[in-house]
Amino acid sequence: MALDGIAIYVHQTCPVQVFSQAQLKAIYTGQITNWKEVGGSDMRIVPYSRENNSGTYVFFKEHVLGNEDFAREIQTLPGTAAVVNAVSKDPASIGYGGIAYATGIRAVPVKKDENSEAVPATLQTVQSGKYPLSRNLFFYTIGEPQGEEKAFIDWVLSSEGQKICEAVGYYPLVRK
Amino acid sequence: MRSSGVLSASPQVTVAEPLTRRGTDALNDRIAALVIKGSAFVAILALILIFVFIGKEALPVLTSPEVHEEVSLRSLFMPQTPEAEFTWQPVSEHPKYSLMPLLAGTLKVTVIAVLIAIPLSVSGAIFTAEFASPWAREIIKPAIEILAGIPSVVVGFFCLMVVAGWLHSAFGWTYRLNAITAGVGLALAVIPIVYTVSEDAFSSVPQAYRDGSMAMGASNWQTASRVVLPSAMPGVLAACVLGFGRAIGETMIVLMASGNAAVLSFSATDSVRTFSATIAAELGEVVVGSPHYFVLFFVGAFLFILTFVTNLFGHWWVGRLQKKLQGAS
Amino acid sequence: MFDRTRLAGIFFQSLTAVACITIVAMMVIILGNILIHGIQRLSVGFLTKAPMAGMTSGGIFPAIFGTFALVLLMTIAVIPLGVATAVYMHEYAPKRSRMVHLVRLAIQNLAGVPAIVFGLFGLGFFIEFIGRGMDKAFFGGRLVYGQPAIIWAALTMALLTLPTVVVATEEALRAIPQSYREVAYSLGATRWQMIRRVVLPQAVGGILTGGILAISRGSGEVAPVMFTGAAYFLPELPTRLHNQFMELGYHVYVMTTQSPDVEATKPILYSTVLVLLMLTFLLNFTAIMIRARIRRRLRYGR
Repeated sequence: MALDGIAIYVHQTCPVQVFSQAQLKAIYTGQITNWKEVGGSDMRIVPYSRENNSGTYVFFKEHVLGNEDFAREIQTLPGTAAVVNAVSKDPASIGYGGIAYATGIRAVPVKKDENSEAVPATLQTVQSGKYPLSRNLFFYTIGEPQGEEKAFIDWVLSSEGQKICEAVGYYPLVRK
Repeated sequence: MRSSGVLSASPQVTVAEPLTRRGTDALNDRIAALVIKGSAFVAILALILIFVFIGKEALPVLTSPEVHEEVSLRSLFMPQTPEAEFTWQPVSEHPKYSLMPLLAGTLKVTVIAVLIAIPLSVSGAIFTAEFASPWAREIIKPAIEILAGIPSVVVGFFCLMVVAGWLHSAFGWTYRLNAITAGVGLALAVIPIVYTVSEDAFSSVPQAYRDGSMAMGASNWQTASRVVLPSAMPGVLAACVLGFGRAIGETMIVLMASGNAAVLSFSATDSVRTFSATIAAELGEVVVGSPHYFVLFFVGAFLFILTFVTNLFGHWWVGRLQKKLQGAS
Repeated sequence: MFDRTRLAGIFFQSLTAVACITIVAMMVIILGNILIHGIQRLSVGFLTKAPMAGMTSGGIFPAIFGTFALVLLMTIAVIPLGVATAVYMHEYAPKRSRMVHLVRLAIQNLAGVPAIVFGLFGLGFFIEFIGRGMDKAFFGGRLVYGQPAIIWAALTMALLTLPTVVVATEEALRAIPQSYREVAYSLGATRWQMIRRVVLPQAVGGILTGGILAISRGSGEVAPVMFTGAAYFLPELPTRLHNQFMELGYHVYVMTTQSPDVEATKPILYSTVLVLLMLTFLLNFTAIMIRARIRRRLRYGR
């Protein structure tokens, strides 16, 4: 129905320009706890996560942490806005979530591994799948969708529906 | 005194109204009595139902072998595996449910809230009951009522958006959202209840006590601290207990302002995850009938019993004070 | 020596005054901050429009409507129940009877049960037990009432606010002079006639107070409705008992934590908080006024 890119947020004053997936994993599993280990200043990293009832949490756990557990010290907040808001107020923090706008934060490009290039989360990179932390959002139906179900899904896939997906923070599907 | 049967048979009524009407009245009276008695029972029934239905969903934690593959009473409270001693990590390859970090978090926030709220509200209550002029009372009392009327989601919002920033820039803690931030918010919810109950306790101390003390040459403060406070002490303690009960179960404030990290530590500047916030954050998407679901209800049952005992104790104390002072006056 | 104790006395006395000032100041800071930030976006359109563009513009009408619908249903349930309970304790049962003691204990403890526990109970009892049961019995297992719905949220909230109504009604009942009841009896009234024609009309102020306080509490609580019927966003207003609904308090929570555009949401968020606060204050203020009148009557015996 739509595409979602999971962006990595830091405070606007954070000097770090790129994260590799391995670094993110180390931060969120608690192996890296200081900013200077990832190219920042000598400060303790304060990572924020989503609550464990969210799909974003599960996606991040599967694709970034390789299904390992989050460190216990990770603070979990019940929503992207809460994460973004928290990051915007704390220079030592890092957070992840769907795309969101806020002053005071910066989304950091991500590279898949040490040798690949850094990719920022943009419409193009998410649509082309170049951005490593992008995912498809699905509707699940029992059997082929029919009647009202089908009408609804068709509407979501229409340009009108896709515009709304975009407005609430997702990326539209690639037109084929 | 209230037996109406004899009175309603008075001759005037029989003359004024036909017999059938009187029959209907009696029937109505009986139906009304039944309905009213039944309704009064609802409060008791509700408490029993809460206990039964939360207990019912919590019970599998103790009895079901399927649930025991993931969690048992032992693993809830005792160290789990060597590398993950006390971990709350319900969404995982190997879900870990340790209640200890949540218990530590709940107690930490509650104690902080109570430590802020009790000195403020008890001395506030002394001031209102003993020293304040009528016009000051006219300001303070409605202010407390307004404070009591602020929905907890608003307090949580305010803590998250404003207070957290102030405290963080003032003290520069590592974690912006921590036990103290949430505790300050929680104190706002606790102050009205502690204030109201202890103010009641101070006002119910008989005026004769004060007059006696003053007549012997004691100052205002001496009277308040040596005579009024000791006599009202059980009420003040009860107020603190009730405040504690309120703080332990409050949800929205801690959910929004505590950072919700399930760490077992005793530092007040670490982020904390409480029982109530855990339920609120996790119940929404959990699969009904999964071990996680049962554990959340187990947490709820635990919370219910904890507050129930606290309240029972608090009210018993208040009642005892009332009896004592009624006997004295 | 005398002077030193006197000075200490004055010092401690002023400390208690400082405590009071601190409490009042905290309240003023919260209200002031929210008023200043919230007033900017407040307009008629804000109150009458639906949220738009992922809650970054538009108004909060569905949340206001949902809150009213919720408290209306809640009031219908809680007022008769609460009034009957108070009438039973004060007019029917012999004073100091075991039953009165038990009911009072239950009311006190019900008042202390955390809101989130009510939420769990609403889910476990109303939705999973009653709702599922109704679906099996009347709808052939089709999912109608066995899911979060406004009726279940309202009933959960009614239990939460029951103590408020009982306590306020009892206070009003106590204010009615015993002689009124005796006169009614002496004229040949049955107990029910006495209650309906004499006691309840006299207690209407107290019942109103309780009802208003309950509504004020009910319109601000979030935890009990989170799992029992409140929704993130709905394009349509609830029209059936088994519909979900939007609620002001929950809307505040949702906007604080999950908007895609924090900056654009902020003014809307503040205004929503302001509306919620004004609503609860208006209700509380009315209740306090009515209660003050009753207390005056109680004191001077009219």
